[in-house]
Amino acid sequence: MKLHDGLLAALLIAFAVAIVLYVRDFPPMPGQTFGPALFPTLIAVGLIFSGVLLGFGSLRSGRRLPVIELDAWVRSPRLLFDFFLALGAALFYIVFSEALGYLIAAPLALLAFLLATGTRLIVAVPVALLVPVLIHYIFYTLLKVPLPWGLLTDYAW
Amino acid sequence: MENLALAFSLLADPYVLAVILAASLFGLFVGAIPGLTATMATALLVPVTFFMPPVPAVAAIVSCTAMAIFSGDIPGALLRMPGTPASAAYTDEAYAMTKKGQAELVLGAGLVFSAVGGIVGSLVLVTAAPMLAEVALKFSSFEYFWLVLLGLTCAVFIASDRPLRGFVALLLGLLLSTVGLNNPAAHPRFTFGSDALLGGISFIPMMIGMFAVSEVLRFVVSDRQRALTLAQEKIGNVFKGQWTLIRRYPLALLRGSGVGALIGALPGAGADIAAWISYAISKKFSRTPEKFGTGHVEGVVESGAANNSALSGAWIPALVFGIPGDSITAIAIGVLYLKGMNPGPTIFLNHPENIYAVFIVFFLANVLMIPLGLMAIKLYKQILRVPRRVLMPVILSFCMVGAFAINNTAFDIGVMLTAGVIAFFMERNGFPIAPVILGVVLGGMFEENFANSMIKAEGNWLAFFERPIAGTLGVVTLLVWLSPLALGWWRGVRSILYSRRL
Repeated sequence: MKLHDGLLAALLIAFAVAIVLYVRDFPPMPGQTFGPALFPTLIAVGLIFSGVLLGFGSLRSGRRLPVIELDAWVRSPRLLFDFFLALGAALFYIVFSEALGYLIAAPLALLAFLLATGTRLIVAVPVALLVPVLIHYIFYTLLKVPLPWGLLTDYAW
Repeated sequence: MENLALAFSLLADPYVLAVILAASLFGLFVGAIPGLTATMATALLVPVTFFMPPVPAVAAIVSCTAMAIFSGDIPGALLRMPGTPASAAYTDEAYAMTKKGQAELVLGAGLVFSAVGGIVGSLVLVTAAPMLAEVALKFSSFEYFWLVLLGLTCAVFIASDRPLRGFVALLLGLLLSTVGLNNPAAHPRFTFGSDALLGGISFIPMMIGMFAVSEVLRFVVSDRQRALTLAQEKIGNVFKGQWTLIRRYPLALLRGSGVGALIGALPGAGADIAAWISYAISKKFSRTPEKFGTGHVEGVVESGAANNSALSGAWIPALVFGIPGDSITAIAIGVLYLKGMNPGPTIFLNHPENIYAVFIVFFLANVLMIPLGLMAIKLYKQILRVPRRVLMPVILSFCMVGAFAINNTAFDIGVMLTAGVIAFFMERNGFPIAPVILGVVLGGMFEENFANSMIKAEGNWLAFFERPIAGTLGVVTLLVWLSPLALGWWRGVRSILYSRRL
C-alpha cells in the first residue's frame, strides 16, 4: 500500500501536531526552564519540517500519482486473506495463549501461519504439531522461560 | 598479559565453543536463504542469547553475523538473489561470472576475501578500540551529546539514499525512545495509562518485529510459487586460483578491508553501504574499469572484503561509546545494556578479559569461516531444499515465543506484531528501518546527556563548546549539518562566476 507523498506529508504533520498538543501540559523539570516536553516537541518540529519538505517535493515533481497505490497482493483475494489470516492467528495467540496454554495455542497459530503461506495440509499438520514441541523444549526446559500451561496445567512438567 | 590468558581460558570452555559453532552454522544457514537477512539472524538469536552469560552471548552474535554476511554471497552468485543486503553490491557481477562458468572462482573469492577482510577489520578493531577508550575516559556529558548528535547525523546523511525519509525514520525512533518514565523528570510520557508502557517500549520485541516479522509478512504476500533454480549445481574446487588473485589484487584487498572497517565504524553505516562504496572505489581505481559488470572478479574481491571488515569496524564505536556502528551492533548494544554490561570505556577497565575474549572470537569466527563456508557452498543445493513456505511460519512462531521470553508478558508479543506491521508499511513507502533502531537505541542517551549538560551549563549555551573535545565535535557536527546547504550555495556561486566569464 503505497501512499502518495503528499498524503504522507499531511499524515506526518498531523501526527506531529498531535504530539505537540499532547505534551503541552507536561510539567517542567524542577529548577530548569525545560522539561520532559522538550524532546518530543523538538521531534515534532523535525517531523513538521520533514512533512513540509516532502509535501513540496511531491508538488514539484508534478507527476500524477494515485493517492493510495494498491499493491498486487491487496487486489488478490487469496493473498489478502493470507495476510489477515497470519495477523489474525498471531492475535489469537496473544489473546488466548494464557488461557489455552502454549502447547495448544501455538500449534493452532502455526497451522494457520502455514496455511497462510500456501503449505499443503499434509505438510502443515505434522510441522504444526512437532515444531511447537521443539520450541517448548528450547525455551521452557533449556532456557527456563515460563511458557503458559493453560488447560494442561494438571499435566505440567 | 594475564588478561589475555584469562580471555583464552574463558573461551576454552566447551559450552562457549559449542555456542560459537552453533551460532556460526545458524548464521550460514540464514544468510544463504534469500529473504532472510543477517540482521534478522541476530534478531532471532537474541532471545536465546539473552539467557547466556555476556561472553558467549556476544560471541554468538559475532560469529553468526560474520558467517551470514559471507553466505549471502552464495545465492547472489548462483541465483542472482543476494542472501543479505550486504551482497547486493556485487550480485550482478558474481552472477555474470557464474554464467561464464566461473562459479568456483567467484565463490572462492567471496569466501577467502571475506575471511581476510574480516581478519583485517578485526585487527583494526583490536588496535583502535582500546586507543579510543583512553580518549573516551575524558568524555563528559557535553562530549557525549555532540558525539551522539554527530552519529545520528551521519546515519541520516551517509547511510541512506533517501535522507529525508531516513530522517523521518530516525525521528520516529527517537520518539519511541521517549515512551515511559525514563526521563530526567521521571514524568510518564506516552504511556496512556498503561502500566506495561511505564518502562518504555520493550526494545527486543520491537526489534524482532521490525526485522523479522516484517520480512515474514512480506513473504506471505509475495509470489511464493517462484522456484529457485541454481545457475550451476555442482561446484568444483573453490580454492583454485585464489592465491593468484591475492597476488594480483593485494591493494584492492587492503583497500577494501580498510574502507570497510572505516565505514562500519560510522554510526548507521554498515556492511551493505561498505560494500557499495567499496565496489565504486574498486571500479574507479581499477586498471580495467570497463570489465566491471561483465563478470570481473576485482570488484568482488574488494567489496567482499569490505562488507566483512565493516562488521568488525561497527563494534569500535559500539564498545567504546555505546554508539552503534550498524543495525547489528545496535541490537547487540541493546542486549548489553539489558545485561548490565554497559558499553563504554569502563568495560576495558572493569572486566578487560571479557572484551579480549570477544576480540579473540572475531578472529576465530573469520578463520572458522573457511571450512564452514566451504561446507555451505558444497551443500548449497541441500540448503535450498528447505521450503521457505514452511520456514517463514516457523520463524514467526519462534519470534512470538522469543518476544514473550524477554519480560514474560504477552504484551510484548503485541509490541512485536505492531512493530512488524508498521515496518512492513514503512518499507513499502520507502522509509528505511535501520534509522528507527538507531533512534531507539540512542534516544535515551541523547536526551540524558543533553539534560545533564544543560543542568551543568546553567542555561549558558556556550558551555556546549567550552571543553576542547566537545567544541571540536560540536563544530564538526554543525559543519556536516551545513554542508549540504554550503554545497548548494557554492554551486550557485560557481555558476554565477562561470556565466559571467562567458
